[in-house]
Amino acid sequence: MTYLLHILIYIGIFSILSISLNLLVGYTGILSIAHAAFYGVGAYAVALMALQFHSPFLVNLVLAVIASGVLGALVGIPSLRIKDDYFIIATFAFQVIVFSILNNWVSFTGGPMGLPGIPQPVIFGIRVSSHVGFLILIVILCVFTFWFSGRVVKSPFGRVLRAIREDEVFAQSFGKNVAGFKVKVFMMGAGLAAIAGVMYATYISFIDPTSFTVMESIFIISIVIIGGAGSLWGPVLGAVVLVALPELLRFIGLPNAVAANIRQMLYGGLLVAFMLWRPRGFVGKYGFNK
Amino acid sequence: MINQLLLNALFAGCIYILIAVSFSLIYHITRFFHFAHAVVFTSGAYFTYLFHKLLGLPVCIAIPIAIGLAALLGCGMEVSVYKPLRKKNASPMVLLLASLGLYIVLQNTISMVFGDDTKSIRSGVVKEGLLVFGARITPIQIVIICTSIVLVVLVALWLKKSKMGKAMRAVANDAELAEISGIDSHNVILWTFAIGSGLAGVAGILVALDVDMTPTMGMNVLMMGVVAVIIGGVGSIPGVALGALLLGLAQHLGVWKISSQWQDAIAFIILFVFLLVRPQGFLGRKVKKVSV
Amino acid sequence: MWESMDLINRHMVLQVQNLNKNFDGITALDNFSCTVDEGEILGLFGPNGAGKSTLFNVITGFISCDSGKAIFRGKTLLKRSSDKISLMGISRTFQDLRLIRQMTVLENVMLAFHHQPGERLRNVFLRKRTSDRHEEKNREASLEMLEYSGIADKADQPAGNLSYGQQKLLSIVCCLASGAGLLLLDEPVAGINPGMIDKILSIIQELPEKGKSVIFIEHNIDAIMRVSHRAIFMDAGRKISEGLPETVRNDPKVIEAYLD
Repeated sequence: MTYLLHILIYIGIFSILSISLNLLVGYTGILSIAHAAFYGVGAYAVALMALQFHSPFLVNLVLAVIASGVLGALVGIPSLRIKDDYFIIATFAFQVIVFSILNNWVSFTGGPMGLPGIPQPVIFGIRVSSHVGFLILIVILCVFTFWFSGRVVKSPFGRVLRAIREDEVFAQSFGKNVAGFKVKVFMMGAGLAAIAGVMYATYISFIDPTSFTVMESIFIISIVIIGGAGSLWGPVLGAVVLVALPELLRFIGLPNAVAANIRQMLYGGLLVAFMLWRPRGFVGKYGFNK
Repeated sequence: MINQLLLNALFAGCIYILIAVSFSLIYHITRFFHFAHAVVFTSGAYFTYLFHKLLGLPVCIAIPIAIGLAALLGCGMEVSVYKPLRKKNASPMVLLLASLGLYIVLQNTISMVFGDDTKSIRSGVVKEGLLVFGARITPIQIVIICTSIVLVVLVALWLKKSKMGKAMRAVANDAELAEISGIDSHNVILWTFAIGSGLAGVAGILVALDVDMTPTMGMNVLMMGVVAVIIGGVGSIPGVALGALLLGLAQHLGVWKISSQWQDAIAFIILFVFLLVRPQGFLGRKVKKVSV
Repeated sequence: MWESMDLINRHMVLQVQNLNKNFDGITALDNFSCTVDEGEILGLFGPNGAGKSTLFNVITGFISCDSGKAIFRGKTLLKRSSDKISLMGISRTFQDLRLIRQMTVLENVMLAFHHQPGERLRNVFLRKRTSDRHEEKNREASLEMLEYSGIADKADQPAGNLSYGQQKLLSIVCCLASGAGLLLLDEPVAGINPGMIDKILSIIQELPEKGKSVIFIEHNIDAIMRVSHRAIFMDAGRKISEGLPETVRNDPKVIEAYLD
């Protein structure tokens, strides 16, 4: 039972990550390989604040979101000057730089040793300590993220994003400040990703840089794409499939050593397969066509 | 001290050149980001390990086989994934994503088959380096530098003089026009992958001969190559070579002044700056942001 | 002469002076000047590569020019970004027919409206009712415009489903929706069937009544003759001839340029 709750919590965390990335990739058509960096910033922000300042959970959550959001806006700004392919590389570069900082600035982030002993959330006097408690919290945050994303996407703002996705020159020619929209989307995507980071940090109570690598970014991208980019439920479906499916493999009795590899090969293979046969994923509305 | 720095930088640059030139070749002609190039690089080393250490063949036979297999691997990806996608008019992003998927599948295959631990194809004791101009360099490192330079020069000459080389340049410049002029672009692309992948395989072997191998070593080296291409200029071999050397220099200067753990970050900060300030690199052509 | 006679009671909407643009040694615009008056339809024609689309790109801020001036309703254009220029009241279509083919016809038109409160993030969350009201208003206006242009029945279909001619029509409707006072139409009737040509030309003809001014580029001389108040012939970035359409067409310099 605890195991099931654990899986559901992970699905929740990755749903938040994929819903937030979907705003960028699925609705605006910007492939960002930096998402794990924002996830990490959220996690480290809450960890450092809780450990250094003992500030309350909700305050940490808000500050982590803001910090990540600001960083996201900063990444979005160069999109004005750097075109598509190169911009993807720029996000890759940003991801690696953030990882380097998390891994090497030992005095601040604990380096490869990470940060242990992250306190559990206490909200209005209630301590979240059980699996059920965390699951409830995660579900609430998931619902919030889903609602937030839905609002954005269904609004005229969202319409501009979809226009940018297909033809930003057209959007620009009708008075839309494309660069401004991109910065805002990055800000929102990053801020929401930080929520997942906060939950991860307080749930596991220990974080280290290895959870926030390029491969993690690619995993989140895979979730969005396989589930279905450009739709509201796609990312959630993707998270369910890509988090739960590998767990099922455990029951087949796969040796632990190869379990991690098989898990990766699973989503890597699915990525190739979907690109070949169904780029819009299971339920997506955007197939990355020209 | 400064001589050692320069020598280290030259050495790093030579590694980057091979991967950068091979990647640039493929990118320039196929116009998408072939991420999986990273695992082709790694496969060169592991194929050598397979044939030399596991099957016992002498190094001088194992290496050519490995290079050939690496080239085949690259061609295999083109034939089984990229070509079908291009036929469907897939956007560069789709190709990039497929390439990512390929990388993940293949890198994990290597991990599963060979294990994640460091493997070696080096033989013998690590000798102290020879003294050259007051700096230390091992014989293998000299071999690597020479091999890189020779290969890059050969590729550059081949591109300029040979029939296929000219066809490749034509396709790189304007694929439609080349097709109309009777050039079989499918064939050209296949050759591009063969040569590019072969070069990557060589690079992988050379690196392994210097510092051993792990299944994940490819991605990092590839990104360094990409940085070299961007600062040197896409589509220009001398530019890419220059970029690779400059990158090596910048990193080692950084290592000297700061510490080696920040090597990657330095490379990527340089990349970021270049993308912002001079995306066409030193010698590349101007990159238009959007054509109206 | 003819200029001063026509200008007596009209306001100049656009004034372009001595524009120069060079691309890697190719002169796209060579000391080009022209004006457009309120309610005027200016036809621009000339051989391929004459610089016509470049002119549009410079005016709308998609390309910078090397020297010269461009003034729209008294305000200078040249250093502004393309989105700001659009907001000032200039809309355009593109030679390669840009549209958002994955969005519906209606969504394309609704996209084009300026000053939509719902496009501001703050309003998406804090002023939803105001945004919704504006959306509804724009929606009705869009349907009216689609009705007017005869493609209202396709409103909920992806724009990509429309025929080429209908897509061209749609792009003009989008310009209308933007509320622009000056429309720059790049080959609005090229490559479409005669029935649709008539439809689009009649819509262009009715634009001055709606208070719009138009510059349109066409290779179709007939279209220029039918609809323009005034015409300009361009070649190699230079203005070769200017005046009433008939006059320009019969200008020996124009005939010579075409025979070259």
